[in-house]
Amino acid sequence: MSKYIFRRLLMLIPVVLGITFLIFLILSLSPGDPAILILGSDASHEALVAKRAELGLDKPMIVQYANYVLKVFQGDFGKSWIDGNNVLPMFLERVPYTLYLGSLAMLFAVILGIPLGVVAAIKQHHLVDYFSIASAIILFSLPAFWFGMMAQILFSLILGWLPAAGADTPRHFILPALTLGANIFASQIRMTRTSMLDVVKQDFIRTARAKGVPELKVITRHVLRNGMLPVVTQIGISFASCMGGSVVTEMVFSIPGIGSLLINAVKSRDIPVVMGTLIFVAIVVGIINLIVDIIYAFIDPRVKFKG
Amino acid sequence: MERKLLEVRNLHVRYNTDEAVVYALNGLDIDLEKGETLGLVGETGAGKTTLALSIMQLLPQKVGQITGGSILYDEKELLKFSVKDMLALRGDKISMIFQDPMTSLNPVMSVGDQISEVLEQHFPELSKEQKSEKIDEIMNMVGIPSSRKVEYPHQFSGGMKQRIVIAMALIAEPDLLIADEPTTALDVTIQAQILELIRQLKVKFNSAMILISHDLGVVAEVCDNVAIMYAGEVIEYGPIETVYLKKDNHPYTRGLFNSLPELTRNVDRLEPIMGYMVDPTNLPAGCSFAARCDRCMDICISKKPPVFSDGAHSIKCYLYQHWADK
Repeated sequence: MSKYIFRRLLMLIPVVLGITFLIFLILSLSPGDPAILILGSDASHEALVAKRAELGLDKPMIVQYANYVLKVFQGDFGKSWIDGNNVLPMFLERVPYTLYLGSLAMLFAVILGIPLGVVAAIKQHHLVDYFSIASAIILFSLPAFWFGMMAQILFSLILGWLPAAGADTPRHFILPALTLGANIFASQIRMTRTSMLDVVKQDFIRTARAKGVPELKVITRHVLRNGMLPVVTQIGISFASCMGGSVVTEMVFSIPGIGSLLINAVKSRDIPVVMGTLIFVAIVVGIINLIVDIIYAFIDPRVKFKG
Repeated sequence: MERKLLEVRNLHVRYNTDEAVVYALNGLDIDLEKGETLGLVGETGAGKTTLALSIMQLLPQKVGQITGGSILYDEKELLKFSVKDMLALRGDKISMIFQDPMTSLNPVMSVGDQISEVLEQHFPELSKEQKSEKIDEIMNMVGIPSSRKVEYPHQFSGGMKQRIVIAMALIAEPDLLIADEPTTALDVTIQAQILELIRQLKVKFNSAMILISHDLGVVAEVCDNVAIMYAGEVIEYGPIETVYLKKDNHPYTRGLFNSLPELTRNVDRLEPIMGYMVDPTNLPAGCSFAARCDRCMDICISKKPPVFSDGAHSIKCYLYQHWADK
């Protein structure tokens, strides 16, 4: 298995190269001149030319990209074009916030969402089922910025239970995690319910019942394990999207994570920062996919590692 | 008279679907003695599997509904059993072999664990070693090396999966085994092996068996008695020798025989039974076979035929009205 993991990690390299090339291409093709953005529109022509030379923008795009990649492989992610700070330390400072927020949101969504989905499936067409489906649809349809602001108004402004913004204590992360997790929670309920209902119809469930296995054991032992496969996939996808997609939540709650860094960098055409952020997201997504595949193999004996 | 193991009387089952009410069983009677093998023959939709699931009380919840009749097992009314009593019975005293071995095993559980579940449920007093010993024994009996019990269903062929299903059904040495078309999904050479295996083990454990099939040949080979089903009723019942004599038969049974190729008879074309199975959502007032019957009389259309018996042989058809006078 370690051989398999190693191979999968190696495969991340071409993936990251591909992604960075695409991003680089898009950023170079998009209109606007970074030199003007940095120096202002009233800067002299000489200053602009000098700035472009300094940033390497006077060279062909391919050369720029090659230079960037070569530096990255040496561990140098460059300096921010805006404030001149090194990308890597700035980045490492922010990563924990995003990881923490994402993990909390996932935890909340998974711990509540899966059991609710299971109960909804067992009690199909009962009140619990209708309740969980209704809440799933509602939560799924609410945009994060609105949900976040409403949560701030209710829990911070009116009730005063939780801080409205910032990232100083774990308490600061409760509302953001709920906001970010609401969508995921909703999709977990739906996915678990659908998958369970699908498995219950299978022949081997009838076989288990014919053996005299009581219903609770039929559910836990036979239905749940088979029903978990698509749910695990869903968890992986959601977690990955948490890494790149927590932008809105981070903005609403003023959390200094990757998301807000990325948004600001894209706005100011700060290519080194954008690239660094996206490389990080790509690697995290790759690792999450790998973990999902490994869990898959543990759940389903038909899935084998091809080492 | 010997105590009957199973007595199904006037059983009515229907499926309430969104579109219509399907009348699956309409006054079905069968009897089974200890150790007896009864063949249940009929075309698709005749209600064979519905009967099996009714006995097991595994009809799909809410949709399947037993609306009348009784199922006496060992002189106890199964329809009045509590959920708990039924759980204790299923897999222990009554067990079932399902039609498709490909889908009747849990893909993520080793076959040994799946067999072991029966023991856990019905013999919790056995130690781990004793359980393991019993599993080894039954696996060897069905012809699978017991070393393979740690493997998963996808590592076995169809025939072997069915052997595992059989092992699961027989490990508790049940009094009644319901085999629902156990060989239909298998190829012909494997069919013969599996049938032989079921027959041997049934004798060994002295179990009674209901063999559901649409293959008259299979039934002739294995069973003592045969019940021919049509539209949720048994229309002919009797010992194999009498029914297969082809002297007195229900027109439907005769049709079934005529549609079989035979080695001793030289025919150019097989004779099919004309028409289709009667619509189970809309049953006729008279005999349900009347519309397809080439010897249909006026009375058949207006009145349901009762059972006419000649000794052990009974037929639901007015052609045998004279048997009633005997």
